[in-house]
Amino acid sequence: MGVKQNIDLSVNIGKMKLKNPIITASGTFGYADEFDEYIKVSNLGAIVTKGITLEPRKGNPQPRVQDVTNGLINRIGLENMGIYPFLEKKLPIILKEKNISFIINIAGSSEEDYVQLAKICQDNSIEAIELNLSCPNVKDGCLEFGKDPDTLYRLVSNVREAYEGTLIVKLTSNISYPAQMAQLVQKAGADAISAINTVKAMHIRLNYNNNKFEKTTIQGGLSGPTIKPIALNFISEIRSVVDIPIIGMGGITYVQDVLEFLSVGANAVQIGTANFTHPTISEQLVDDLADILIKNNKTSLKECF
Amino acid sequence: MNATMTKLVKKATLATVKANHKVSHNTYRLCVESEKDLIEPQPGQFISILCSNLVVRRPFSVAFAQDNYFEIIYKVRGEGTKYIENLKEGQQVNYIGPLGSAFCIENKKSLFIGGGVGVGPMMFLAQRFKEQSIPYTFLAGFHSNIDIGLAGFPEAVLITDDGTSGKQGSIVDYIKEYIEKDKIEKIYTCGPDPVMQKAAKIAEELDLCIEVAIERFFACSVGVCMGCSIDTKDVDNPETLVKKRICKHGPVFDGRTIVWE
Repeated sequence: MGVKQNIDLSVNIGKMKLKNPIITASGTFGYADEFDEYIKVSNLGAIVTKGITLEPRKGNPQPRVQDVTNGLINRIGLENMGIYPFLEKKLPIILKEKNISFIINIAGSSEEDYVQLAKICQDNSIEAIELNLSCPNVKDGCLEFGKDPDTLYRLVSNVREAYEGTLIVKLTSNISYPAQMAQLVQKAGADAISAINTVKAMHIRLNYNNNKFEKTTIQGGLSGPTIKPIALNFISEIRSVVDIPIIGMGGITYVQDVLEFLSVGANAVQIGTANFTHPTISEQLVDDLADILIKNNKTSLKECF
Repeated sequence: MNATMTKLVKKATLATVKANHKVSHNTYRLCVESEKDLIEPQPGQFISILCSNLVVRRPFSVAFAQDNYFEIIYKVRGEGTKYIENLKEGQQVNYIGPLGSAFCIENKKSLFIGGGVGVGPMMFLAQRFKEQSIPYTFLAGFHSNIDIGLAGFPEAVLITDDGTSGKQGSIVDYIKEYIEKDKIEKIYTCGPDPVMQKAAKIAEELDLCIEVAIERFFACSVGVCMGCSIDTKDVDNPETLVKKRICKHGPVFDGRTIVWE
């Protein structure tokens, strides 16, 4: 497996030039070194790190994941080591493997957190950041920043001022006016939008015990093939109002899914939950995409849509 | 990809079902042969099986392995294990592994405490101990005699909660007795949390080493989803809690480091 000769899959996202549009989604690919045993990570377009906060976070208690029909609910709660240990311990590992484009996903519990994280990324010459404004699993903020138009605009503008690299804003589908929010993100100076984050969801398990039902609830973010139609619709809606690149995601598992996202206006895609099902899937999709182009007598992705 | 990476065969790999049969009323044994060269799994390690179109693979401790052949012992609990139950001889299984940490085998007289399907990895460990002629005592605990079946182990001390087979009571009631009687120097356990927790407590009281194999639900099997993250203690500095992932740092842990929920 590898990059096929003479097939141009490259895409530009902000200042980033990606060799192909296949990116691994935040929280599903660790800090990339975990996948060295499965694929050649540098064959991918880019990777997005697990969401990183200013201070380390312990995340939520167990249970944290529950699979449902064609999907997965998670309530990890942004467990991560914090930005400074990341820069010290993990970044050198990512940088060691040359030729990997990586995007740091940052999450904050205040507007100041985001700006500070962006400054730190700026000071450390980080090529691209993705603002997580849509994690449904932390009580203090995150999703809320992506829901209120004024807050969203102010936050993205302030981050833009602090950070010169490629700025991607990750949106949730749990909002009423996607088009309006996307326009604000563009107006505030973001280079790209990634969407969709997980969808708020609940799983119930009932056990009949001692003449009554005992209920176990898991509430979190739903991902996987089951949310693909929601994601396609969301991207289609925002594509009609913004010009900046869109990185589409939501249940992508097969190359047909990649094509569907590109067909509604996504410029690149992120692979999330499918990394759990098939740890080699992201690299496979790069290969499959090239094969589809060859099969249809195309030499470049740009000719397709 | 560098030279050492190409040697690894942890990629999703196919295996062919050699046998899949009931060993008790709700417990089964799946025997498969890997198509690619298998890195030989060690006792305590697990493999993750793709179950039809389920998004999340199902992890299983390896109960026996030799060359490219291995076995798992499983209970039918939900959709995933229902799929595995229906696999027929000759069908293919998509798996990744071996994954996770293995038991550390030392030349010490050891006690194995296996509860329910936790007996599987203990059987595998016993095989390795036999090969190295290290003495051990094997306690195998079940709810009732109908749950046994796994006990192709004449040397295992059978204990059932209801006394329908072997000794009656909870397996934890027999731990101290066998530690004293057989002059045990180290404990290995795999089973329900309360059994392992009690074993860990006894080990601590008696200042014995203990290794526990822990099970939690996770999504990825490869250390990235954080679904199986648990709190652990630093043995020398128990106030400091450190997050560890069952699938990556475990499933085998030093029993003294676990913060039991």
